[in-house]
Amino acid sequence: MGAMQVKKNPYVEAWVAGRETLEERFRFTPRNIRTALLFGVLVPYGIYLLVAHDMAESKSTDRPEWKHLKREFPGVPVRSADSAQHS
Amino acid sequence: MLWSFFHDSLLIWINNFPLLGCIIIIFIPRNQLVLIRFFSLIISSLTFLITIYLWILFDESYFYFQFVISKKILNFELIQYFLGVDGISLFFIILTSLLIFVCFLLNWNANEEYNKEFLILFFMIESLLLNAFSTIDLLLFYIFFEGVLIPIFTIIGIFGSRTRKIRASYQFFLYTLLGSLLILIAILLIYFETGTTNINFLYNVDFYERKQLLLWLAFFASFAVKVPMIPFHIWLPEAHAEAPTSGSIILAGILLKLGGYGFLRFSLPLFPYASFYYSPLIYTLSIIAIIYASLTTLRQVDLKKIVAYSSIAHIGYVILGIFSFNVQGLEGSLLLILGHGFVSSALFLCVGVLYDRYKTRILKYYSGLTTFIPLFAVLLFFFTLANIGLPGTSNFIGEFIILIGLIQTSVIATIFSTSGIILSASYCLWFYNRLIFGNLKENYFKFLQDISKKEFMALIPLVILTLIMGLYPNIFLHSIHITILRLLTHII
Repeated sequence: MGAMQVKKNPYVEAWVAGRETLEERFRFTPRNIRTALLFGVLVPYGIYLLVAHDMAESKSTDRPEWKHLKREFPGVPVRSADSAQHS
Repeated sequence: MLWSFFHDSLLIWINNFPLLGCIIIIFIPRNQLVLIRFFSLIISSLTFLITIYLWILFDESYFYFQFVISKKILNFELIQYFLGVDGISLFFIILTSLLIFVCFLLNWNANEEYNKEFLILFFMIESLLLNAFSTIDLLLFYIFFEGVLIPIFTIIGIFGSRTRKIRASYQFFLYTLLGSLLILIAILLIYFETGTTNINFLYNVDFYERKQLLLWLAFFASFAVKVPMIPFHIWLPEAHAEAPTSGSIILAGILLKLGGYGFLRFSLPLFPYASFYYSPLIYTLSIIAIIYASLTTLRQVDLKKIVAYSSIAHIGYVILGIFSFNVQGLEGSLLLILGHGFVSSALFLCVGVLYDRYKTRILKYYSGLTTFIPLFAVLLFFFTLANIGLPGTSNFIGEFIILIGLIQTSVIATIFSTSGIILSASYCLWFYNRLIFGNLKENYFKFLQDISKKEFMALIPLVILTLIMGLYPNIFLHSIHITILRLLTHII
């Protein structure tokens, strides 16, 4: 099957090699730092807050209640079931 | 007499049959490569048949571990060769033996570089994985879990395809080892607190809440690297890109499942409080894995990296299912683990078919293959659709049941994770379109050849299993249902 080997294009090979060694050329520029903070910190933290709030308020819905879940998640303010009902 | 001996120690036979294969191959001269491959295929097919026999004997209504075997290895209470199977481990065992058989079939008339040592390493992996999935002792699990590192490290480092293979193998080794050191400390802490590492006893131990939080993190560090979850995933695309086709099949098909198995077997039942406590964190990491990995897949140009990143996205669903703490989520995650084992292995096999012929995995060279290799195009289309999660295929059932389970736990997480379905359709169809349709780039190719009988025979079992699981998943669900209920009694 070796006879079927593709005729390689040096430009494509160089382009792919460049993509594979991206970490060697990476520099922390202001733009990169902004992007890293946005997608590495802010977006995950936003998702975390949304998910944790959703799970913490699950008692006010008809979703099953878990004996182990004390509805206290790091960084998320606790809202008790009573206050949820009053509000 | 002999039959009852075989029957009573079935798990020992299954787990150590591959070692018998190792011993046989060691004594066959190196130049008798056909004979070596013949014996490998026979031994691996026999192992697979015995695991099917195990499934036939498996009692679906029994609550606890079955085929339990306990052998004292040393004059030391801590280490006992303690084996057993339940609904969770049963299909991991069958999947392992099936994929190893497929790998041997694939290597039937491969290059001479895939020689005696290569096959011995595969038998070692098989034996270690089978032991890891069937042991019911925490310390033994750790030993087998870590033991798998050595043959895989060697396979990537020696039998890899390019110069970056050394870097990839070290990356894989260091990532996994670093995570695993914490689990060893946790196991020792558990042993000194409870006096045992037997899971049957440990399931009845109620760890103090603060201790659970710490121990859970130690287990998480190890399993999250193995799964892998973002941000512990860097080693995976590198390892896949450098490993030979069979290595990628084992990596994607079984090795990544060790992490999911670890969560199901240890993290959830041993530390239920901590599992609930950390569930928003796990959900966040899984959602990030699904979305970011899918977006990363869209901009890959290496065929193997496309499949590798899509695996990370799919495993995100598995983890969401495991941490949804209900029957649907847990059963769905097990089905998706199995389904992903068939589909991703088949996709790696398809990529391997192209690489064996044309010695490149760069997408830029390929286009318009359907005109010249139609059978390959049809099979690849089937597995691409299965990877998307088309109804009637295994991944659809898994993902669908997971989402049913997940919506009972978190609506927000369900909304985020469903975006992954659209993204997976985008990258899979784009990948297929660029590879198969369009005009053939004739300046790169001398001539093309469709898949061989051997490759077809390796792919067909995976096609059948993907369809069976997609059309009638109850075959699998019946066997895992009772075990999942038992698992839930430990959690809720």
